[in-house]
Amino acid sequence: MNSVERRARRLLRWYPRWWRETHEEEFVVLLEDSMVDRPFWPGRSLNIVMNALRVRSEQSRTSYRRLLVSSSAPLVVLIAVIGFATNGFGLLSVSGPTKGGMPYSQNKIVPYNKIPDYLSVYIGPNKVGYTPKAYLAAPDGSSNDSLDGRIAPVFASNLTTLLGHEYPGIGFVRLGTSPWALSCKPESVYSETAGGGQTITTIPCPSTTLVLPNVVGMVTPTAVGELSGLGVGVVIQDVHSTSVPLGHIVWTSPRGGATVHARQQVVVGISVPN
Amino acid sequence: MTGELSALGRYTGPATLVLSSLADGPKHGYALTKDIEHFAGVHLAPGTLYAALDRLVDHGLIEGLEAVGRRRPYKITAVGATALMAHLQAQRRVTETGLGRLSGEWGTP
Repeated sequence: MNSVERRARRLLRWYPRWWRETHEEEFVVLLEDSMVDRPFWPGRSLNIVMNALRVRSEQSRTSYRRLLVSSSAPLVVLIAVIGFATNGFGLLSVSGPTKGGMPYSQNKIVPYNKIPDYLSVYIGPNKVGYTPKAYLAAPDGSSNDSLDGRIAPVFASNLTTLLGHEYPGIGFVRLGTSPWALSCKPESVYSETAGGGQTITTIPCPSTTLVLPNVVGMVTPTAVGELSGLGVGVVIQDVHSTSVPLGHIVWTSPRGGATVHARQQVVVGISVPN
Repeated sequence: MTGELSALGRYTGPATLVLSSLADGPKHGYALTKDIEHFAGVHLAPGTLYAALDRLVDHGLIEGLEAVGRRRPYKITAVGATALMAHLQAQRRVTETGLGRLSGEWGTP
């Protein structure tokens, strides 16, 4: 171990162990590069110490987030699966303090400021993630105020959030914008006939069909806002495109002009860099 | 809106620089530092850089890729690209308004 590396590792000890477990190697290399490239930088060490102390002080407040993002993925999947298996959204309750816990029951309206920063957990092949509140709350690019401060929690076996990630369990939607997600089930009504028999009338969900607008070329917040406002479920997919500018819609499936069920899922490809 | 980026509080500045740097492809820590120095003239100290990276990962705006050697590249996500675009568009309105009014009141700089 050379002297630069030793210095780098010594500075790193200011950070808590759990942080070092995930960041140590990459951070040491960064520090070495920085020290070699710019040997005299008086503020650098102090900057590291201050940030390390901040990480330590924030640790208890945000431990549930840390669990989500910094643990090894298999562990998180395991916990998440156990969480969903037990009470649908047990993950947050087992993984540390949240903003006032999760006081939500089905279809109850909760104020925006009572919702944790991370709304939902999705599990996919080799992937665990969550939906940040900010995006879900304002998919159309408007400020959070336009929400009227209200989001409705939704339970479903295969839920697609406005953000577009699929996961089992619980999710939240903006009120009034996404009837597709409000877990409508066709209702059966039994009535007696004059002859003593029984008729069953099925009341369908309020959704009908609609013609999908063409959103190709729009910026993502506008497009997602427009689609989710119509009630279709929006699934976002990364597309590496050189011709379409970053963050714009490359294609949709089905295409614009197609007739879709109002609760149908529409996949939109968004241009991202390689 | 400034949306998620402004929700990062004191890290909004570094986060905007990091996202802008990642917008043309994944980069690891030091490559980010050098790139940001190059296009913005800002020297991001290592502690600040990692604080910003942590928060961006937390918010789902970037993701860490498989380490290459000892260096881990980070990649912007679709959500990150969206948030960056919204943030930069809001900033552009401020810039254009400010420059426009300056040229009216104070003459063309």
